[in-house]
Amino acid sequence: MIADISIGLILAIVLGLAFIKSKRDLKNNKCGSCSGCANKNTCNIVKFK
Amino acid sequence: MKIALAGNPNSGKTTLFNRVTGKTEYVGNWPGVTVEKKEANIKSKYTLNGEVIRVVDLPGAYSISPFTGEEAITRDFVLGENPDVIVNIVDGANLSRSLFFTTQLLELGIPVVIALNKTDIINQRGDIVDAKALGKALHCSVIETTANTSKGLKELITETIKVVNTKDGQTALGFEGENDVERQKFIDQMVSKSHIKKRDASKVHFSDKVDRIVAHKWLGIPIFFLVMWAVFSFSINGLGGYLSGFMNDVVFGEIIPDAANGFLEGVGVNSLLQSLIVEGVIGGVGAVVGFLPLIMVLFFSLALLEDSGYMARVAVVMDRFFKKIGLSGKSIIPMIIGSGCAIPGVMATRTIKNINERRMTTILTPFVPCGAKLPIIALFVSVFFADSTWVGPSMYIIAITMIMLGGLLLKKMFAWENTSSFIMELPEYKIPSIKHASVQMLSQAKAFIVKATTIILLCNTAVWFAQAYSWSFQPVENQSLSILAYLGGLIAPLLIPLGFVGWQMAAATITGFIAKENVVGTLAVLLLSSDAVLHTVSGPLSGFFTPVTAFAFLVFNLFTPPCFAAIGAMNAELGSKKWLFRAVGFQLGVGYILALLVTHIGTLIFEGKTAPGFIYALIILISTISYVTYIIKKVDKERLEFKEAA
Repeated sequence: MIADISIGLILAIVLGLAFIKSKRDLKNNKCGSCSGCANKNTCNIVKFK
Repeated sequence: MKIALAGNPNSGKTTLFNRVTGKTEYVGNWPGVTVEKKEANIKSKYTLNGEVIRVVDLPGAYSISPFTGEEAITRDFVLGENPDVIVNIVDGANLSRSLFFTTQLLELGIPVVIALNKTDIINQRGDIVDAKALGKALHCSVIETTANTSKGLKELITETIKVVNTKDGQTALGFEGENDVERQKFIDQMVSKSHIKKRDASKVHFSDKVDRIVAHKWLGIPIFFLVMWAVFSFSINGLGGYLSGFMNDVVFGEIIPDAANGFLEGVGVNSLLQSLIVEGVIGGVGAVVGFLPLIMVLFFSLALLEDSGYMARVAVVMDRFFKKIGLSGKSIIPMIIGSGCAIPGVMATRTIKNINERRMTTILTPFVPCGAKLPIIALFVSVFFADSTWVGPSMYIIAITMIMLGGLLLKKMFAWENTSSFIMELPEYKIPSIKHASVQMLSQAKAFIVKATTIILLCNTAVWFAQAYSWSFQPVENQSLSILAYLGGLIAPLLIPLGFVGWQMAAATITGFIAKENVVGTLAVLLLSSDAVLHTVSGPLSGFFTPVTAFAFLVFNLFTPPCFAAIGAMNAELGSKKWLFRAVGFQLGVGYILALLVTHIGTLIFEGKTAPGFIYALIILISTISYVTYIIKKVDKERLEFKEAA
């Protein structure tokens, strides 16, 4: 039970961080799902709508 | 303090920007790579007392009067945002032409410092430029630089800070002419006093000799295909494929899952949680990350090709063919950039002035297989075409063919005007920089890993839950009773005429729209088990496809609309919802019909029988042809009416 909670918690933190990063990128329109795109600093999609 | 970097396209602005800021922005050895301004702080080693200095890299411009969208960004920034100083990067190899823009900048009253760049090429040619005399004539400091090697950059930044601190405005030149021709004459006279040319322009040089072969009217295309075949074979079947095989077989196939299973069993974790971690997280992400070496080898090779100056020639070679379909060679640049990621590729269409040409390029650029589609190609090649070196490169050849045919179709269906002419400045050939290629490769690798550990990780976890639980949120023994099986089952009938049977393929296709790597990740989560490796010839994928339908599935995933983010970029560049719907509809139609044709014609040829769903396929094909013919006739009629009215 303790192992389940500990491992589950670690996994939840990892997924939570992944979610926060993806959400932030989506919100800033920095390539959305391509959150790791090397060109995202140049990508200002929202500006040109 | 704010420094604006301005200059002609391909003068080395972004290279200089990267050097002084430590950034790794995309650099290409051709004009028009930068289409949006970029900002960053200068590295502390270039500042005098730790002062924060902001540098803004602007898109290249030939004149202060904008001709293209990105030139307008440069004009607006220089005129509207009052930088403290403009560092004008002047291409020393094309001095007279570069100074046209310089003389216009000098008239704005903002202090200007000139970076006389590419001095290595000047020296190589044996030319001499008297920087002091040039500076005196232009009423500003001229610092000799070679951005590639950081030579002169410290002096440049020191001089720039000095100029800002003295707070003297810029003295204008004594030019009083009225038009561009007079301005150029004025510049030529000025340059003749400070520039001694040793190189005879009429002589045939090394670059010219190479161009006679690689940019030849007839030889150009076969050479391009040969070069691309070599690059992709080396990446997919050669070194990249070998290293990826090791990563998939050993690292993500044995070492990591075995270690994870051993650890989780050791601490006594619940079997469902263990399954989520090993099959969902490690299996899904590992299946994608396993292809990292392949992607690194490909982008390293492409960066070397770009840096050598060859890719700029490809644009010239393709111009003749592109003109026939309503595009110009300028369209090839977004497409080459799109081979890395469709988003910057689509954004690069901004350099195209003609609206029809720009729209068509925006719609056609995502056809080029981007880095995210490579894992799908590599997976299917390793399972179904392991002994063949042509399948991987063939995706790029099909992409070029589809761009041609698609362009022709778009021209018939939507375009009204003729295309613009194409003039491109060809950079000199040079020995490509290993360092530059390594930086580009590592940048792509970092992006790939970040993406795999964010959106791919989230998607694979969601896919694992959806395949492990039913709508009543009870764990299911049989995947076909899961939430994902239900959702995939809604789409699956549409894929039957293409020969893709099974809700798993539909599920992979849906997640692929979020990010294309998800196709591989989803298949791994759904099909992997302790005794099955996804990318082997006898792996679980072989039960779902024949070689023909596997090829069709590749084609379908590569030519249907790109990921959502790329569709967002298309929306921004097309500027209207109507055109976005047309674009996505067109891409969906092309991908679907192409896969349909591959499946049915391929099955007929290679298996000597009709594929399942042949009648449905025939109905779909006839309906599509009728619809396209109707649209073309309608547009033809409108064109005629328009002409008569005019």
